Amino acid sequence: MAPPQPPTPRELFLAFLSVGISGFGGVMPFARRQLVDRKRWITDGDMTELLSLAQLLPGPNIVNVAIMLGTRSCGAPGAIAGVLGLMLVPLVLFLALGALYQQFADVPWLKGAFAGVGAAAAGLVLSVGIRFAHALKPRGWVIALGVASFAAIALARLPLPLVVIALAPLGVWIAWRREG
Amino acid sequence: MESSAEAGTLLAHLAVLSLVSVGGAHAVFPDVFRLVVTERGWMTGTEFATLVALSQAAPGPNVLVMALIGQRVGGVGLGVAALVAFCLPSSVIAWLAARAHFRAAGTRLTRALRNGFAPVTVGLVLASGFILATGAGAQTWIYAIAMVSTVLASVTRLHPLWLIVAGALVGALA
Repeated sequence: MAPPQPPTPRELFLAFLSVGISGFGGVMPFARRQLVDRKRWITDGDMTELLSLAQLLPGPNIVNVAIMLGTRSCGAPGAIAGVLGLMLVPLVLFLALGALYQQFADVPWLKGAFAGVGAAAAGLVLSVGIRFAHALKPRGWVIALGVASFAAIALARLPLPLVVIALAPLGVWIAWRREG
Repeated sequence: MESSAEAGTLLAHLAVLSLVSVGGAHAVFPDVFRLVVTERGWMTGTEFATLVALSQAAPGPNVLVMALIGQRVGGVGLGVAALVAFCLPSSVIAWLAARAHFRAAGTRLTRALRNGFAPVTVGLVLASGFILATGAGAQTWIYAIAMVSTVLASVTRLHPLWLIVAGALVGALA
């Protein structure tokens, strides 16, 4: 999964900077587009692997993805560059908005705009799931596991740690047996 | 704020939560709420919900809500400190795990980890899109925006920002 030319800390910083400032309603769709489609540093399959690990670990998924891609590319400096790129500009923006927002929270059209952003962002997340699903091998157990984890969270509303602890080892065990 | 003792309480609380924040900031909201609203009364429940909504609408990782919470409790300095307190412990763990994982790349175990966990991750991503779509408000136009956005983002290379802007415009006029 190593790309021919791993990105430098500077390139990682700039790539995650653009992900951070465009990431409305959640950054993962923007990260996938930047890292997979534009930079071509990783494939959809690699991105799913990084996100799998990110989800297994404590901490925000996108921060963990930046750390893991940075570490893989050029060690700790890459990890630090990715996280700083992701956070610095939005942090300044957030602190400014936080000071302003209290006064405008009840304006009706602004509430509508926020709901519209939320709906569009939900669609973006779904499209990321669809693109990732295309990168999977279409086996029976793969589909069953994907459907089970979707249903457990989206329909049964079970807690995430519980679902991960139950399904992840099962998937790894099946993959170990079938494809070792 | 108030005092450095209270700043210390908030930062220590966030640093501990960082270690168990599997799933990110959303997973620990109930516990942060308990500290800053229920126990300490540093803000109201409505203010807390407003900060969360703002963090989802503004560009950037949603974890930045921790900076908003810190800022509300004790100003800009505590905002930055709160974000660092929540991100640093988990980041060190992620760095160590990444080093171990990539050193072992290509072994049967890492292949099993990759292939076995991937379908669960895809299910989780789809589930979070589903929950966001249904949580944005139970109105027809909300579902319509979510569906159009899903289709366009899946079959075109359109920049996601156009869909976000379109969603905001439709929402403001609806």
